[in-house]
Amino acid sequence: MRAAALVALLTLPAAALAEGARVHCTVRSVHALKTEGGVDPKLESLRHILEKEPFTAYKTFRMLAEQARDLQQKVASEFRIVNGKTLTLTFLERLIDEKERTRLRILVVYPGLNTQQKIGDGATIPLVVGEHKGGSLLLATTCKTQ
Amino acid sequence: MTLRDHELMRYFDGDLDASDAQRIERGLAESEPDRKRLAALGEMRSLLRGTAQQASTTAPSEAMWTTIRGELAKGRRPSLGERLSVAWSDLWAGPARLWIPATATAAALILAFALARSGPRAAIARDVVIESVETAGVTATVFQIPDEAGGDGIAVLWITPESEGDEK
Repeated sequence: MRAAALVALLTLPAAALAEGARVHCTVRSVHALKTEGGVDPKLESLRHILEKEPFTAYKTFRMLAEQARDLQQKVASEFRIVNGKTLTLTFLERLIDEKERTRLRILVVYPGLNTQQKIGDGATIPLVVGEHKGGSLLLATTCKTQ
Repeated sequence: MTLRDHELMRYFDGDLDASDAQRIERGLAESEPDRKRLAALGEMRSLLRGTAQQASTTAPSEAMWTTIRGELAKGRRPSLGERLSVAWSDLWAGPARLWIPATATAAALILAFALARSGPRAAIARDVVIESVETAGVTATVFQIPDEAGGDGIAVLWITPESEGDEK
């Protein structure tokens, strides 16, 4: 009984998270270059991605643009990217997985690509969309429940 | 593997049968965060037990209460103000006072347990899993960044125009 009460207390926030139908998404356009230069301080939160394969060949990461928007469930939202193309994001659903973790299901559409991804609450989807001005263009999309 | 709270608590209380207990032990062997959660449960119990023991040893003995009652019976009846004053002092000076830090300790440990539980979750919250990919005119390559906390890790999708991919 005592243990059950404690479990109920500790699991309450996870249950409450499952109720919302909006997420806040930020799309950062990152220019990755092989020349020395370091990580832009604005990209500090992405260091856990930028310092790992397949990005270790790059020595400079510079933020070119940042766009943030609230996404309503099942409503497509377009982000104009620095290379002139459009990234479309759709928040499909929020779910609690078998390990009681909050997960967000996001549909990502970019010219030539259509992908559905399941991410942690606040996680960043890394998508490299090709070459850009002597380097590569990385779109880092972070989504979090509100 | 992340053990469920009720499983961990039942294991801690010795309520599980042998096969379930072995399964939990395998989970504990694989998971440092779970071992910390189990240790937090042990610390919480021993602190509470220690505080309760201290309360019982500092409480006045029955013989002492008999003497006090006898002395009180000899004297005049105290005024309402005196009785309230003594009652207030007793509240803070008696064994009940020990329950204030005991309750605070329990609350702090519950909070620490919750934080220990949220620690690995914060890392696991970085997980990115690709469920489906459809391409047209581009080549998609998936790279996997493993999660040191035991989560699913981060999937990196890298697309290149098919003509560019063919040249490589």
